[in-house]
Amino acid sequence: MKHLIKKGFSPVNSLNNPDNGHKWSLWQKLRLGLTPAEYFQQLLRNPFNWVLCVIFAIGLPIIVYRYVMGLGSVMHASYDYPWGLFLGFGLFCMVPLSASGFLLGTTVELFGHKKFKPILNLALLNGLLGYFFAVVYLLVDLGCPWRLYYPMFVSWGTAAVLFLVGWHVATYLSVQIMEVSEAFFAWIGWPAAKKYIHGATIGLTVAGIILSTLHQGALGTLLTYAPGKVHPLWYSSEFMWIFYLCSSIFAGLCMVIAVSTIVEKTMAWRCSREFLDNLGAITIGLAKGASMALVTYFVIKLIGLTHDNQWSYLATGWGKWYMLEISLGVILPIILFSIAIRKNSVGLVRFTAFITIAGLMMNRLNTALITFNWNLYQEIPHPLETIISVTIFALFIVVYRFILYRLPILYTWQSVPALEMATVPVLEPAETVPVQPEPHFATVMPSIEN
Amino acid sequence: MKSRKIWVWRGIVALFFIAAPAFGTVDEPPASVSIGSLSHLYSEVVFDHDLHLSVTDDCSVCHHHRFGKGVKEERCARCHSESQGTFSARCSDCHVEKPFSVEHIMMMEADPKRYHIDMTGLKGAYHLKCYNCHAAMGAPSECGDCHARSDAGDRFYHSGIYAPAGGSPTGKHE
Amino acid sequence: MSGISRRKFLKSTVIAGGSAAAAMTSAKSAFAMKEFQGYPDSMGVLVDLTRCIGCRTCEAACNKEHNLPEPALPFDNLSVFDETFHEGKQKRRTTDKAYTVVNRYAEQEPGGPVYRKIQCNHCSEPACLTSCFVNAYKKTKEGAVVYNPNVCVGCRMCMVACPFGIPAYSYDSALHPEIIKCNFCYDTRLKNGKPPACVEACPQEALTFGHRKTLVKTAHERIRSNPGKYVDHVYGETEVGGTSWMYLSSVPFEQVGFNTTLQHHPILDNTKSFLGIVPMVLGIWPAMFLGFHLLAKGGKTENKESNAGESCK
Ligand code: SF4
Ligand code: SF4
Ligand code: SF4
Repeated sequence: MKHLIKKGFSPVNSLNNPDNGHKWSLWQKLRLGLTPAEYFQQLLRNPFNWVLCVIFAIGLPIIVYRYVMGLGSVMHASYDYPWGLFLGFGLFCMVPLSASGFLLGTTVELFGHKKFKPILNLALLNGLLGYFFAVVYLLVDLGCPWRLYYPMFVSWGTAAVLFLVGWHVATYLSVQIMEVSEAFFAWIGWPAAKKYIHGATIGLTVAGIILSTLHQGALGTLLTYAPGKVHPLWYSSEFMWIFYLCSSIFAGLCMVIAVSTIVEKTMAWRCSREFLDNLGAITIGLAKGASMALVTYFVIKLIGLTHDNQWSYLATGWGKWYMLEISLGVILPIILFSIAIRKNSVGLVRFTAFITIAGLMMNRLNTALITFNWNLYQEIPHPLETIISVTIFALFIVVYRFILYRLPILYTWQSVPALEMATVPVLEPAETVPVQPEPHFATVMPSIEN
Repeated sequence: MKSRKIWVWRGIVALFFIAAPAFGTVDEPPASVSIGSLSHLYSEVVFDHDLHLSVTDDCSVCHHHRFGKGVKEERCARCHSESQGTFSARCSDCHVEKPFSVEHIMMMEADPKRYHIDMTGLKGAYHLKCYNCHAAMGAPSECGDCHARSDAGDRFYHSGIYAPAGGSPTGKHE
Repeated sequence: MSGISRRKFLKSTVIAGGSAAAAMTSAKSAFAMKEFQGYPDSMGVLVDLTRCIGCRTCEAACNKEHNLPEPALPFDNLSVFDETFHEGKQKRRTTDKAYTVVNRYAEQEPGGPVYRKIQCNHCSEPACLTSCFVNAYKKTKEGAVVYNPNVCVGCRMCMVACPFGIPAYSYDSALHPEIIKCNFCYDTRLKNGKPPACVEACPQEALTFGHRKTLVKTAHERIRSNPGKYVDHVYGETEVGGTSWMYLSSVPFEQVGFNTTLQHHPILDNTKSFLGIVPMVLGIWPAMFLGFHLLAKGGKTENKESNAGESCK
């Protein structure tokens, strides 16, 4: 892509082709306005795509294998460790890392901090995809994935915390789809729908806060069903939900910082000037929010320890592991963030954000997997289970990138006033539009091949 | 008690008294009792009453306070050292065959003043008495020492000709 | 986002309300469960470890009763007691092929060895049941905790939740995987007024079947009238809020594989501090955050910081 941009190519960013004033067709939009050949070439040029191909070549057949042969073929089929990486990583890590949507939604839409507006769409998309892929992980993990809708429509286990998680993730997913669909409707060319969604923003945002507060906390509460299995240092029947809710706040914010960093480094061509110019200031702002949450988290962790009087466990081997987690995932980020904020160092903030994410994942995996059954025996995830988890994460990245390339997430859609009146999606160009080859690209082509 | 260690064992000792003839009188204990209540798993067993009579000098070891030299257990003695003997010497007159039937459970609970609420059933009474004594005395105490298993029994235990083919000692377990 | 008209506001409320309704139901029924003390006529089994001789007849009876798969070794083969798993850290446990297993413990103790049968304990307020989000479990009035594979989604939350590590899962089935555990012989016996197969088969009457209420008394009476014989505790009387299957032992329970660190109130209680906030969040959040929104719109934007951190307080 960088090559193309250098040659003066500008990807689709409005309904109409600026060169001839005609509407882009859906296919053209999907190809970002490139010709098929160009599009294919830029795909091949990116070495990361090759890595993805290798992952999919190995991982996708294994996923098929899982569905044909049953869960037991890709997991240890343990009765003592019923949950493996699919839930330990896919649910327990993806969900907090996707808290970004409701956080930024609240900040921008409810508190009116317009400063964060440029990153809002990215945060919303991050939330949507994170949840969506948490569900994908779930589909691999469930024994009967075809019954995924049962808790919604067939049989209600209303006293169960998981019921609350299920309902909330499902409704919140729809809320997020609606939030992100604003960008989608702009892209597909259906302004009426876009306006309609826009009108519901406040409602969606408030719904987002409620649902998120509850299910982020509920995820932690799930583990209070297993007292004694989760190590006491990671367990607290009273505080579990606060730990999880609070850590999801810095996790979500750090995830936005991390993703925006990757975006800036790898797809700056797709970002609007507004986004790129403000990103530094926004990153620092997010870091402030994250460090506040980190400090709060640290304090309630200490309160939790004291309340349940678990200090003595700190002297054990598990205690050392616990302190490592807290030092790397909480204390170190607090220190680094405060230095970075004082020095206004975007680079350090970003570095710290990655550490914080690692720390959070460590916490979630510790609670759900590593210290689970701490007085029984340890279990290393099955290799195939690991491969599937990596494959789904690769899928996550591909979908993420696919959407970022196209929908107006990082850039602003240039709307043409007359078209705001259109009430149906624009799927086909006007009949008379000469579709291809666009002269503009034709001149670029030869140089790409060099 | 040590003297019992020198018991001589003659053949298979029977355990089950269900089909036992009534021996309600003190004077004529049966020489042996054949028991067939578990005949769906084992062939009938014959309990050599005479033999056991010869190795103990005190009937109350088995028959509580019906015969013998008085109850052994302190807590029973509180009432039964002075009391009349039980109405019957036959195990199955008190220890019922189906202790966990609805009728029996209801009957036991119907009388709130009943003292003997924790009485074992017949099979339990035999085994607890016979097996525990055998085990303590070093007498034969494998199941097969008393019970000759029938074909149905082998099937029940997945044993003998019904043993699992090539069963590994360790089943899949994770 | 500019003005917030009444219509827009209502539209928003409906969307929020849809999900709120679901959450309300959830919280409400959790509270309704609060006073549940178990069914008055619940049946139970008292397992007296001092009577068990490790003959495995109960295992065989259960296998036959429920047409379970053929065992790896005959049921009269006692070498299974030497099996250990995970570097000797674990003895045999219930699997997708065995609802119940007997293990040998305390070989070196004076009164040993002691054998212990494990199966579902049919808790009064079962963690498996209360953690299941499709209500696949049911506590019958007879006290059995039974499972319905037809609604089970296979999330295995119940396996995580069961404090006794009982439910197993048929991982190997691609199309019909299900939870596998002892059902107190509910379908075949209990509901017809018959004792479970294992109870009926046990030669030693190590398993005493009866009303749970009565069994609690029986258990204490056995302890009282046999001074020095038993540990003065009826395991399962109060553990995790009480179980239908209870245990008496002559050696300390932790030496025979029992988890003696369990809480003495239902596992469900642990979720209550969280479920308690659910109605509050549903009731207070919308008004509070809309209030913030209106305040923010009123021009008070001098606070430049992200307010994200505040939402957790
Ligand atoms: S022992 Fe486990 S499986 Fe059985 S009822 Fe209790 S929680 Fe459920
Ligand atoms: S109660 Fe029935 S299902 Fe449960 S262990 Fe005994 S025989 Fe098996
Ligand atoms: S049948 Fe009775 S004595 Fe035999 S192992 Fe089972 S519980 Fe113990």
